[in-house]
Amino acid sequence: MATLDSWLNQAVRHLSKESADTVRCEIQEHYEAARLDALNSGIEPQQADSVAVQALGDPCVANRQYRKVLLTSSEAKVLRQSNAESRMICSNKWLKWTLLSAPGTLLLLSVIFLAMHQIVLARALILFGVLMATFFVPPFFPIYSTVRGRVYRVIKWTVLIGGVLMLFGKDGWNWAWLNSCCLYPVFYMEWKRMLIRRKLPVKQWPRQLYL
Amino acid sequence: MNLKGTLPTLILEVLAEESSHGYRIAQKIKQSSDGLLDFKEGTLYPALHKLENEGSVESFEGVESGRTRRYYRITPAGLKVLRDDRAEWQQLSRAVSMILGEA
Repeated sequence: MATLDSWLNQAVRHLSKESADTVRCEIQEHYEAARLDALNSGIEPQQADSVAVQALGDPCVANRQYRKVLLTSSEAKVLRQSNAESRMICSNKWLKWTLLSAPGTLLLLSVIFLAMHQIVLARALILFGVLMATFFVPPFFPIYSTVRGRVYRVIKWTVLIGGVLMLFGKDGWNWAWLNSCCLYPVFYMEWKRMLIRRKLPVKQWPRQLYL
Repeated sequence: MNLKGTLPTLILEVLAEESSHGYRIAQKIKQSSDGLLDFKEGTLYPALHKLENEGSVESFEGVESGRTRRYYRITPAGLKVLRDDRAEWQQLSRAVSMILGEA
């Protein structure tokens, strides 16, 4: 059994606990069926063990393939955190209304500053208002289908890139290092969400995966 | 021999005949190809998960010899994928045969 255990330990590396349990269960079943077959064909028990493990192949190759189709520990963590954030925002009335009203307030303030000819300040406020509206308001919109989700994501990226360009203008490239550092968490989360979307069937998607 | 990328089609072909569990699918592929297609069995399950995620197969629990096992069956979407894969494979094999035949 030690050989199967070491095979499994390598095959489930970096997988989430749920994924690892699934892999352990199915490979254990497979191993026992293969071992029984080998024993029935007259092979010695010890040899039957190694034949069954050898038939499984290289655990590193299996691990690479499992990581392409099952959730890894980092993806499961992103999913858990996003679920907790959504629950926190949606369950707290004050937070919900603050997030909903903040973009509108910022847009109103920008109009006031525009009227006062404070163009730079007005532009910055519009930008933050639009960014806040793009990121915080959609959880309250009925985005429950893959098409609506895709449309929203296109809008979100357009606004984000447009916002950065608007903020830095021609100096965008000079500030690329700052933008990369600031936006790294956003890119990381989006990258992980994209991988999760590929791995989970649509019917199992939690709400935030559409966004 | 192991033709990269053909495993999902072979799995769907086996499942189109009858619902089956992982070990039996592996054995059927080996037997049907007279042992020529010898893929590593550890890679069968990632392929099955992928097909399940795509909606081509669905899994359910069944009992064999008193033991609970995870069985897989092909879905209507999987049958369509299999039809397309078959047609694509026949085209490809005809094209390769034409080239090798001329050589």
